[in-house]
Formats: sequence, structure tokens, C-alpha cells
Amino acid sequence: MSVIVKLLSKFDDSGIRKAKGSFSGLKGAIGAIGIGVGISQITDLLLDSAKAASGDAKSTKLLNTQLVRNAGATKAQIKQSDKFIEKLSLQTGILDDDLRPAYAKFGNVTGNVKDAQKLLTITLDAAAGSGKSQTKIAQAVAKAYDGNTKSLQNMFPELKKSKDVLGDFTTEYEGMAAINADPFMKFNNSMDILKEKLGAVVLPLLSDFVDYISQPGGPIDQMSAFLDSFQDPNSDASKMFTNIKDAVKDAFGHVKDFFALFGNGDAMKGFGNVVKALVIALPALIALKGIMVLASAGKAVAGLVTAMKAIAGANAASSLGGAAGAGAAGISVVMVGVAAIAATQFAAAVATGMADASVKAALAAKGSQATTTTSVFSGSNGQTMSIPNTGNIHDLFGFKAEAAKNATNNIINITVTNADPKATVDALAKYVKTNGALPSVLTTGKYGK
Amino acid sequence: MASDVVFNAKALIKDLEALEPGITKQLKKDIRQVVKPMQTDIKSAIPSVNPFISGVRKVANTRGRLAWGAGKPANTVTISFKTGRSRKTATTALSALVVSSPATALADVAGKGSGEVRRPVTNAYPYKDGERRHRTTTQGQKMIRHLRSKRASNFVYPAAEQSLPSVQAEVKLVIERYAAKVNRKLN
Repeated sequence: MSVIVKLLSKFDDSGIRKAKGSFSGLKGAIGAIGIGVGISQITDLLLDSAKAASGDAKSTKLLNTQLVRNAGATKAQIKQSDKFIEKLSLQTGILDDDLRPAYAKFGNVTGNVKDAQKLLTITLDAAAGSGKSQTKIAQAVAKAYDGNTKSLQNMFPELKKSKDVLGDFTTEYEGMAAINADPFMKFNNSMDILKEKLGAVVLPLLSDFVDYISQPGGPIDQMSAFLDSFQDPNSDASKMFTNIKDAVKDAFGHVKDFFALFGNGDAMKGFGNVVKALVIALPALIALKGIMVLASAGKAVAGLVTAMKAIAGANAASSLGGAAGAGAAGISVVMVGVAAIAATQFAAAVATGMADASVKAALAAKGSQATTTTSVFSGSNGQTMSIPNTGNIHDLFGFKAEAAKNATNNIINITVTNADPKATVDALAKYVKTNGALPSVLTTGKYGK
Repeated sequence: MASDVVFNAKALIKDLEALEPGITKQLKKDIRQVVKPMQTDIKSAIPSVNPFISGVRKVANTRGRLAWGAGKPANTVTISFKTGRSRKTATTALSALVVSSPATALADVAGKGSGEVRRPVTNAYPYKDGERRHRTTTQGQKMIRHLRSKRASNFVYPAAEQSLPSVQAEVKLVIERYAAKVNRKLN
């Protein structure tokens, strides 16, 4: 416990990254037993497990062969050896693949499995307790077993006075490997062993699968034949890909033609115009959403199409719809596109206060027209919403005139009749809550109830 | 009080040593020179006698790590300079003043609690052949009242606060001066 007055701090995240590294190892281990993993990860796990089991089987076979040849190990001893290595690996956190070569070496030296196990345990304990190289200790221990204790005594000078070098050495370091074992490594090791066990189950299945797919006339042969057929331009597979390529080319041509309509024959210019129109229309669409909310309070307008019809007037809507329905399939797509552009331009005009006349001119150029004399939205249940129209062609829907009338506060009165006033106010409040405050100050008067 | 942050401090020290072996010693000496006045201020602000001793009942703890001045003088203030990393936080103190006496550290933060007695009677604890409990006295509350002030620290920070910004700036200047040496060499 101390009080620290910081004078200067330093930033160094390498320690945290190292700590994270330890935990990612743990995460990998947890992933390996299938906790919280997806299907693809499970598949990877199975393949990994099969691989690990294959490697494990190889190293076990190698060890067992050596034990049989050099230490005359019986079947029961071999089985016990496998268990011994697994147990030692779990206790010490050392990989079983690293233990087996040392074990085999001791098997050669001692000529019996029991002593080999004893020497391996001593070596691991001493390595963990002294921090010295496991390989060097193993060599010295092997020599000491044969009676040459000099290297072991040089390595551990405290043994120089000992009468029973190997016995004292064992007593001094007994159990050190298990005590000093890194818990992360122990955990990872346990998971690796589990993985190998899982792999041992998967391996025969995988082996059968490989035999099946690689048999003559099997899936691999068939796939090879299929891929070879692409080299022949007259094959069905090759023709299919040529058709796909042509179809993509045609579709791109149609898209190009479509945008060219908006750029006097230049598709890129047309695309630019469309994007520009959409960008301009963005505030208009937001404004339209406000109108829609007002209208929906009285259930007057069901959707955007109806709203656009109401804004553009019945004539414009019918002329657009008629044009769209009259032509052939290709033409009708284009006309629907034109109608959408006209509508967005119209909406943009509402938001930006563009002159009514110029909007009408723009619509006329696209073969459409709009009437703005009636700015009343009607609902199916007889509700209406009217926006005052001064008749000034430069003031769409009379927004400007209405604003001028209340120049100090910029108030625009929107009258909703035959609708539930509370629902209207609620709808407004809901709109503001969801979308934030409207650009201008919005107030509502008291409406009867 | 927030201090400035130095990046790659370890690399800086390594480069300095490569540039001129033993220069880190000089860097530490320079920092110590800058921080010395503040260290003295803190030392003199730490009471020489145990502030826990009641004026009424003068019984003081004279043994153990929480005894005033036992083992380590109560006014031990060391200047630390560490470039090592932490596995818990990325930002750590490069240079700091450390008041390392546990008794002083405890007294420095004492009196920040409510002082309320949580349990009027203790849990049972083994005593001789059986077990027993005892009532909690209100002496602690009185001690807290005696120590209480509205500050987060009773002695250390009040003594350091006034000169802290200027000392922090000076320490940073020292580091920058040495960093400039490395930069000059590299460029």
C-alpha cells in the first residue's frame, strides 16, 4: 500500500498484448472443445482433430516400436506407457509429442519400461525445478543411470558429495514439474488430448471418405472430367458460361441505355444527373415524411404513391400511369423511371422553395405535367388536410406567402379537418420524437376537444 | 491530476544507452534534481507522530506494518522511474513520487468513509477453549472525525498540488531534452 504522485506517464501496451496472447491461447483451447463455435468452426475442429490424431498416432507408433525393440515391452506395458505419457503431459503441461522422444531414449538406455518412466519423471522434475535444459538433464540422467554421474554432478554441484547421486537427485526435485506447471499450458494440453481423442474417432471416417472419393470413377474423377470439359469450346459446360457472359453484357447495355435517357444520350452524364436529383430530393423526402405523418393521423394517405399522386394532382398521376402502362415491357420500365424522377424533382421543389413554374417546365420536358391548384389531401373516410394556396405560381402551395404572413415567427398553418385532433397532435409528437425537431418551430393550436 | 504521456519510453532509454552508455543514470539524476523540492514538501507534510493516537487515550500501535514509522520511516518518499510494462494497463507511471510507508498511505486516505459502524457486534471468533464476540466501539468514528477533511488525500497531495504542474512540465522537459539527443543522432 502506497500513495503515488504521478509526474509523467508512459504508454506501452505490449504487456496487455502479451496477456491477451495467453488468453487467446485459452480461447483457442475452449474453441477446440466446441464451446460457442459455429458449424464451420466445428468442421475445422474435426479436420484439425483428425490431423492431430494422425500425428499423435504416428508418434505413438514410433515410440511403441522402440519400446518393443529396445525395452522388450509387452502389449500391456505399451498400453500403460500411453496412459503414462498422457498423465504426465496433463500434470506437467508439456506436450505428449515432446515427451515421447525422451521416453524412447530412456527406454533404449534402461532396457525396461518401468525405469524409463522413472528417469523421464526425474528429468522433467529437475528441468522444472532448476530451469536447466530438459535435453541436457536427460543426457546426464541417462549417463548417471549407467553409472557415469560426472555430468550430472557438474550440472548440479550439490550432488558432488552425495553417495546415491540419482536417489538424492530424485529426492531434491521430486514433484517440481507438477508444481511449476503453467496452468494455461496444462489446460491447452488437456484440450489437445481431448482433440486427439476426438480425432481418433473422426480419423477412420475421414479415411473411408478419402477412399470413397478417390476410387476409380468416383467423385474426384467425375469432377476432373467436368473441369476438363471447359477446355472444349463445344462442350455444354463451356457453352453455358458463354451464355452467362452474353447475358451480363446485354443487361449492362440496357442499364447504359436507361441512364443515357437522362443525359442526352450520355450514360455517365445521365447517371450523374440521377444521383444529383436524388441528393437534391433528400430534404424533400424528409419533408414528405412529415406530411405523411400528418396525413396518417387521419388515415388519409395510405402510402408514398398515394401521397405523390395527391401532390402531383390527378392529371399528372394518370398521365404518368398511362404512359407507363401503354408501352412495351422495356419502355414501361423507362417511363416508371421517368415518373420517379419527376416525382423526386417535384418533392425537391417543395423543400427548396423552387418556383412552381420551373418545376412544371421540368416535368413537361419529361412528358409529364402537374397541377397545384388543389392542395387538399383526402382520406378514404372523408378526412381532409389542406395546405393554403395563394395562387402565386412562384409560391408552391403558398408556403412562402403563409410564412410571410407570420414573418416574425415563420409560422405555417396546416389545417387538418374531419380528423381526430388528438391523433394529429400525437402523430406530430411521435414524428418529432423519432426524427428530431422539424426545421422550423412547430406549434399546434387547440382543436375543440 | 493527469500527467503527460510519453510513447516508446523503453525504446528511448534503449537508444540513449546505445548512444552513450550510462546516460540513463544522468537522466534519472536530472529528474531527481527537478523533483527534489516536491519530495521535500511531501516529507515535511507527513506527521512525525502517529496521527491515529487519541488525545484522550494515548495508546499507539507500535508493531507491524501499520505501526507509525516501524520498519520504514513514515516520511519515506522515493522518486521512481520505471520503463517496464504492465499487463493490466497500457498507461503507467514513467516517473512518480511514491510514499511507501503503509501506515502513512493508510493515514493519507483515512477519514474518507462514512465512519458508520456496520456491525454493532462482531462475528464469533475462537477464543481460548471456546469462542466469543465483542461489541464494536465508536472510537473509530471519533478518529475519522479527527482526520476528516474534504480532500481526497490528507497529507501527500495537499503538499504536492501547488508545485505539481510545474514539476510535471519540468520532468517532461528533461525527457524531451534526452529524446532530442537520440533524434539528432538518428537524423
